[in-house]
Amino acid sequence: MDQLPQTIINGLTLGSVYALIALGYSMVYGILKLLNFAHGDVYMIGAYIGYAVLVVLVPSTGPLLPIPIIILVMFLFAMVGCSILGVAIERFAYRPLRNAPRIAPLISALWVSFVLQNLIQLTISPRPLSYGSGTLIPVNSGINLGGDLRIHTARVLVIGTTIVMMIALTYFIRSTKWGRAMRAVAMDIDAAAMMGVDVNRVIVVTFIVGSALAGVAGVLVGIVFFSIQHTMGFLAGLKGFTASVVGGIGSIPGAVAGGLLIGMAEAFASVYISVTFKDAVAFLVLVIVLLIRPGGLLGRLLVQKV
Amino acid sequence: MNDQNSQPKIENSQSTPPLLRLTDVNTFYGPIHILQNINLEIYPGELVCLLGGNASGKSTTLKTILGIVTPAGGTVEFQGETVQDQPTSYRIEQGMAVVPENRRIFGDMSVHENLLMGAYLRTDHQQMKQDLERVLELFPRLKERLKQFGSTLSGGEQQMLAMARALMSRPKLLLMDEPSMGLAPILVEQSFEIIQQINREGTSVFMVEQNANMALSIANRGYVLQTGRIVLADKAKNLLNNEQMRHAYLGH
Amino acid sequence: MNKISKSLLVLLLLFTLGAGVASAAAPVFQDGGQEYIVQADDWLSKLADKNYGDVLAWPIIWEATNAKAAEDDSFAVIENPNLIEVGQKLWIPDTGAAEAMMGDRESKAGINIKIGFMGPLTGGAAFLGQEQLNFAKTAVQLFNERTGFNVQVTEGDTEINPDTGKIVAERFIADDSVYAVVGPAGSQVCEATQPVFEAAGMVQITPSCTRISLTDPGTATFFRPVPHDGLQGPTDANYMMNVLGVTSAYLVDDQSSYSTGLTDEVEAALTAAGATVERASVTQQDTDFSSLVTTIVASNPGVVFFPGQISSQLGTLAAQLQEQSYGGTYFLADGGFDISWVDTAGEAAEGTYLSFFAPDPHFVLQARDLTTRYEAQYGDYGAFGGPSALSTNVVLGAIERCFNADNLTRACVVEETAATNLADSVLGIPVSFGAGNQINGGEFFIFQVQDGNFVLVQ
Repeated sequence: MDQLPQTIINGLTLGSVYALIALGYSMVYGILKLLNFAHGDVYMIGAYIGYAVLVVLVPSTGPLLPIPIIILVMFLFAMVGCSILGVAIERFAYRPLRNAPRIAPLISALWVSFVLQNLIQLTISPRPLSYGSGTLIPVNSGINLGGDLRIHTARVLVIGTTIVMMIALTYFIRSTKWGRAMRAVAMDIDAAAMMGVDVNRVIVVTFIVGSALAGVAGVLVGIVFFSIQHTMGFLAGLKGFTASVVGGIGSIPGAVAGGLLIGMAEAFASVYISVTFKDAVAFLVLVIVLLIRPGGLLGRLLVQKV
Repeated sequence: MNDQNSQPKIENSQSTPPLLRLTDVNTFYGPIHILQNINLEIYPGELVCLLGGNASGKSTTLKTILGIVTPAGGTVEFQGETVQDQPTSYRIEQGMAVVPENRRIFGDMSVHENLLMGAYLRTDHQQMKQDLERVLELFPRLKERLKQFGSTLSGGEQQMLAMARALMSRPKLLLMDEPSMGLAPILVEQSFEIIQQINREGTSVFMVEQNANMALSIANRGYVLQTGRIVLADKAKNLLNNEQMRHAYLGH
Repeated sequence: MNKISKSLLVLLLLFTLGAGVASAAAPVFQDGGQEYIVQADDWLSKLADKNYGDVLAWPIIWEATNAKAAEDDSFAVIENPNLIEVGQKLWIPDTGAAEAMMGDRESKAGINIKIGFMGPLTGGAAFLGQEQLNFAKTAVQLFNERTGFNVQVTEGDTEINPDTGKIVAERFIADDSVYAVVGPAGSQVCEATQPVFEAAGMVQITPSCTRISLTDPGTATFFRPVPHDGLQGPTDANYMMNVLGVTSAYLVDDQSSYSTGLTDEVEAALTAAGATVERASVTQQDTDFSSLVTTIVASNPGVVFFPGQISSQLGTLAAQLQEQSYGGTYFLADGGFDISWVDTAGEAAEGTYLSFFAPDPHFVLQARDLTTRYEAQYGDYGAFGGPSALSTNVVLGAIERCFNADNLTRACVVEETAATNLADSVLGIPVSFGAGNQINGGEFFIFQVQDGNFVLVQ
């Protein structure tokens, strides 16, 4: 059997998730020049919020609402919940350190990351939780692409949702006043302030948007990969961060390109080289890209203004 | 010596209340006392310049007016309202606009988007369209480059864009930080002509400059700042003829 | 308990028939006293109040009755002191004997005895470590109630890191009131801490390190009451080839010391028997195996063997194998004995085989007290806690015997642990140690997932 089409589907699924996470990293970095290492854990919380919705709406007696509506409710709650969390993190962990040396908010971010993980471990469970995806979307459902090749409905959902999110985000950034203000703050925070932009509010909006995307990613991962755990944010965050660097940190299309590249690199490395070395290969791609283009795929090296 | 009395008072021949008034403003950066008892007024329709050498506190004065730094003491009044506790965005909304030092245009935005950023706080879309037309008439070069990224413009064009951007907010008071810095002499002259034109059309202008000759040639009045204190304040003509001034700043 | 299959219950009943009651060392016991038959509305504290004027003296009757029952089976065996039944025969010591026993209990309670517990209490394997810790605590709690000792559990987080494990070990050794250590998990951590405890002459008993070399040759202070990979590998390979009749296998390890060790064993056994074997490694952090599955499906092996320990990974791999229409058999090891991955995989789990060194406490009658108490305090549990409670009970028994011999030292606890000889235990198996302080016997069981339950097939 030809493995190529399935490998592409695998890579697209992974890449979509990485892209959604990478966007949050990139947006925050673009504006605050801050590596928000708690972002992976916001994504984890999103998965748990989705799980909470599942527990309420899908009791053992069967779903209370049509499945597509349940999934929408999961997205909605995860987006809102993660946005509130993101804003709280910004307000209490980063804003007080806005003028501190660069390393201080980084440590604060790691602290938040540990707090969130341990919080879930203590209050919910240290054990992995099942998303019961089979109830939501039967494992053998999907679209036949001819021959043995079938794309699982959950994967269609992941890729489709990601495309919709990308289009919405692009519109938001390109064509709305808030989007323009975000870009202005990212380019020159002082000049933006001199135009009357309330920088703090723009930062809050950035955290809202980035965290909402992470929340969506968390729910999607629960659905497509069947289970969640309190530690899932670490590696996903690392991959998302890598994706945003490969794409050019601070660049929105770059984050998407980086996410897809890492996802594809992992999938192809797994199938054509070795599953064992997939992470090594994925990170090798990062190194090669950065050797050729130090600013990332779609990024530019910014000369720091003095 | 009493600080309060060390600052020369300017004769006020105008009867209307000032557009902007700084009273006994003191500003610190950490423990460093930058501005010391600054008193300064700008009346509607005036073109006023603030002169001084490096590190004399010119930019800090501008930042204090805009609210980027907050004074430790004293008051900043704009159109009769005390604004020193209001954020920058509020002051912009009330009618201030700035052409920052080094222009600070948004390089990764098109010229058009840069101009929209200038009108960031406005919601009167019809009026904005008219103002866009008007500004582009004033700067025809920008009209040709409307879709280009800001970073692709030449230095002179960027200066025009920065001025046009500031005008997009329909300011009552245009603040300019070193408009001549980094520009070729011919472009400096051009810029100053435009500043004069803007002023003639009714916008008050407050200009911070090192190029004292040039600034005084178009200004109504001027203040001279030295290590955080105003040491001279007079009509531009008088300052041009002031012995002390000529010796220290005008290079005669 | 809802998921117990009848066949398993029957088997366990047969298995435990004839096994005696746990025979800890006899408590201080004097002869004076009287028989008493339980009446309606009796409970132990009420009887204590009536006989001694002290409601808190109820454990005397409990302890004395159980001690009598060991000699004379007309007496009741009270497993749960909160539950006595009408008609049961109790022994109520007279006041003098009771006072002696109370005094004895009080003096025991005054001794500072600690058991160290080490395991992964944070991070990805925290669920395992926490479950082991809480089972150890529950076992200690039951022990204290029964005997009157006041043993404490002091805990240390290894983060499954050998270096961190050594630091925890040194901390326990430095505390003179620690007499034995239960843990850790992760063969690599056991390997690192083994010489440290050996040098200190302190008992280390692991509920879950199964790498062979730990007890071969082993040390005088390292005890393993669970079977090692050397038994599991051949059992699994043999079952795959001779019962399932497969000739090709795809082996996946999760890069942990345990997983690679076991996979090596299975690989060797399969290769020796002439099967075609392919192999890959994943990490314990992986959440997606779709590309691995793409590779597996392309070579279409008869069985996929994955001795993983993270239950979500087992479920995800099962579901993704089904997603890409894999037609062969899915085979797991110890980590698979955890119902949560079956929930994750849903119907994709059906028909999966797994081998396990111990039964799930849910299904063991002898563990009922323990699991009831555990559930009340900590909620539901998986399969890793049972061996932890067993390990704890083994060292508690040794400590009690040393105390009774008036020789409570670490050296004595080592000796007495080695001399452990239990006819029955909370895992429903007899416990004694052989060469290298490896448990004697130690069978592996093979289960299959049928209708969402684990059914014993070998």
